[in-house]
Amino acid sequence: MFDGVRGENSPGRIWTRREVVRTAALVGAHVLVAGVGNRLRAAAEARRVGLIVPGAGPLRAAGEAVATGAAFGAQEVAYTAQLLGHDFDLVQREAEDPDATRRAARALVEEHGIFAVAGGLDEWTAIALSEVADELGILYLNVGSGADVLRGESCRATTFNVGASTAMIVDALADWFIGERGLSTWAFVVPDSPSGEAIYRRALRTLEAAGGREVGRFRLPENAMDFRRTIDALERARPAVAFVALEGDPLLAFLERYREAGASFEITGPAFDLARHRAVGTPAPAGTWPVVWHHSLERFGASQLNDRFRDHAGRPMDSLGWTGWMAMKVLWEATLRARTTDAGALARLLVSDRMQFDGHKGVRLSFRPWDHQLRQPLYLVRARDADPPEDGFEVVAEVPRARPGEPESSRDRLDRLGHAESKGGCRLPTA
Amino acid sequence: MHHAMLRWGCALAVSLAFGAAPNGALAQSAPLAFVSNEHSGDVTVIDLASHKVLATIPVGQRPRGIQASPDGRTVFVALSDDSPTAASDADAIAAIDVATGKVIARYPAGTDPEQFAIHPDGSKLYVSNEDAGTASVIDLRTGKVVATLTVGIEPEGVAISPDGRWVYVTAETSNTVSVIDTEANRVVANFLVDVRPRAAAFSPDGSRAYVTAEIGGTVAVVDTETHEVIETIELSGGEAKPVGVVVSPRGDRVYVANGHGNSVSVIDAATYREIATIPVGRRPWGIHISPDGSRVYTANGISGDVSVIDTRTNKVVATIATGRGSWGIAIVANPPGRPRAAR
Repeated sequence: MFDGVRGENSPGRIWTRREVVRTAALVGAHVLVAGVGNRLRAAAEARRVGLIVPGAGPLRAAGEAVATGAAFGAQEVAYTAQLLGHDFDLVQREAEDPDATRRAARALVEEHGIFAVAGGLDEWTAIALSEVADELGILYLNVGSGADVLRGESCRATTFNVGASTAMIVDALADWFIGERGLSTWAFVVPDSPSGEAIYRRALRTLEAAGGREVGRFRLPENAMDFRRTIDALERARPAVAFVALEGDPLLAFLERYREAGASFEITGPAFDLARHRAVGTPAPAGTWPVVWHHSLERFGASQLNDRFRDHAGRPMDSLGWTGWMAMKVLWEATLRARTTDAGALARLLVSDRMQFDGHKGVRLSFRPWDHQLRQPLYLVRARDADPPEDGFEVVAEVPRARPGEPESSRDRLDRLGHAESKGGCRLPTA
Repeated sequence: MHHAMLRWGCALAVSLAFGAAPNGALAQSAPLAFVSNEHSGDVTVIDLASHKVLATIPVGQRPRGIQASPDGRTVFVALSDDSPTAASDADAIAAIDVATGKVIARYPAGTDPEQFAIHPDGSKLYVSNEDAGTASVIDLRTGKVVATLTVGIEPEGVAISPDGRWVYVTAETSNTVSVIDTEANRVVANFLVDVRPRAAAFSPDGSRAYVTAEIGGTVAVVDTETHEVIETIELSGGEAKPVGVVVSPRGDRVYVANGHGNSVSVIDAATYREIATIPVGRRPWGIHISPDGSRVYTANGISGDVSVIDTRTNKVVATIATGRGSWGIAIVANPPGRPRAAR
């Protein structure tokens, strides 16, 4: 729960020995008072939240990345909470499929009295968490799924999306590749599945709205791993950019083949997972990818956040780490300002003008009322071979780009990413 | 003011030379502004009557927070190294003798000191240790850290009430202000402010404090009797990036440096309304006001200069080149040796 706590002799650690003792005493006090019958009341006073991530399978590395960020965030939140006379606890469970995820969420509510749960590293477990959270009357923070349906027809009043949606990512890529660099001929490589089709349609719409055109489309089996013919066909199609919507091992295999072929086109897509790249030790990163965070960011307290995370985790902070950290911050600050853990009250506060957050991105972050998506800038990172940075990638752009001569509020600028109010398909009940 | 004079035995402890001005010239020029330059590692000294740069004083690594002693004899500047999470000899508060322009002492100040405040009786410094989540109290008579207090995460702004009773320490990540009772040398309260608080300033009568929130785009007005926020003032529709703050000597105006917004906001302290926005140099963080309230000065980090604002017209009337990464500004109204006007 207080992972990474060190004593006062550890350089620069925010916890002193006195704080550790005081914290342990408070934790002990909660254990003493939280007998079976009192758990819910004690949990409500302690502001307890849950995190459910996979501990095995293809998303294990991503789950670990989110969990590390959330534990770090919970530690910082708990520190601040104590300054203000409160407590904050995080309880974690592992689950790899939607049914197990639902069971874990129910257990966290029953046994620990959580008022909110975070998790969901793929569309199906995220939808499961959204449904069960609504059933249980708690908040759900989506920290890992970019699926537009969660911001669209599957939206719920108690679900809030911290990471970027596919729609935001596609808009960000168009802003950079077409708006900034003039690379307007794209080819698409998508999995042959309903979600692949949805991504393709959204990306094509964005491409054409930005003045670009499609020069090729390749639908591949979801488990495809041999991409030689696809790369050759892409070369013949001569796109400026290949938008590759594969994920996990297939994407890594595609990138390896792309590097071997020395392909002439640029490559991008919505789902490059730096955590998995790090876990499998991909030797030759390639392409330009959208992320919500990068360890090289410095301004507006970013370098301090990165330093603190590295001190905690022993490695750089990536997108999933930031998202886990941010989820804890959102939950703490919302319940503090609302003075309640009631899901309905929290949901109303989160979409109000009163509630904004600092994610160390230099701009106020807030949730859109029409789809509960966290407004935020994204960053594009590109693989660099010469003198490679720590993870092989450097930040080349922050998007959406400011438009000189077109003054707009920071909120309006961020709303250029993702679905506009009339377009997303989410129909939430009005307050 | 009496304070311990700590001398370094090493041959190269701190460089002592100062710019083009002949030895002792600072004592005859006044009022003076001292501007810390984070990236060039020095302090620029400006004659505020002529706007001429009198001297550039090398002080050490990463000078940031800078304050003048109440008697005007000493200017203190916070120094820190490139390893914010580890204490080293580079982390210190350096003392510049105003009459000679020489660094005459260094005080240990905990890790990564950034901002600090001086007790009105000149006896103590209160220092924020940004990466340690602490505030250090330094007794200037002994040169020792006498207390290390737990505050919020990433503390930065430090301000002391005019009567010396309360010290406010802002914390950027916790969004809090910690209240230090200087008589007890302990934190007695913590209160919530808006998002990413950077600095605080007390009104001359001590009844109010103003706390800037960089990401919130606001200034919180605090009742210093209850240590509670009583008003939140939105600047430029919330799009401002407020950092430094100073209150006019009459207490009727609050001036806010909007860092990455490249402007200064002017607040009417009676109505709590923003009444002007003044474009200045690039990235103004430090801000100060002349003792008669006629001029406001901003230290501009990206343009490496100081903007001079005429408070009657709310316009910039001069720009003075300083060093790289200009960060903070302190004003000495009556440097020692300056002839005083007959009353």
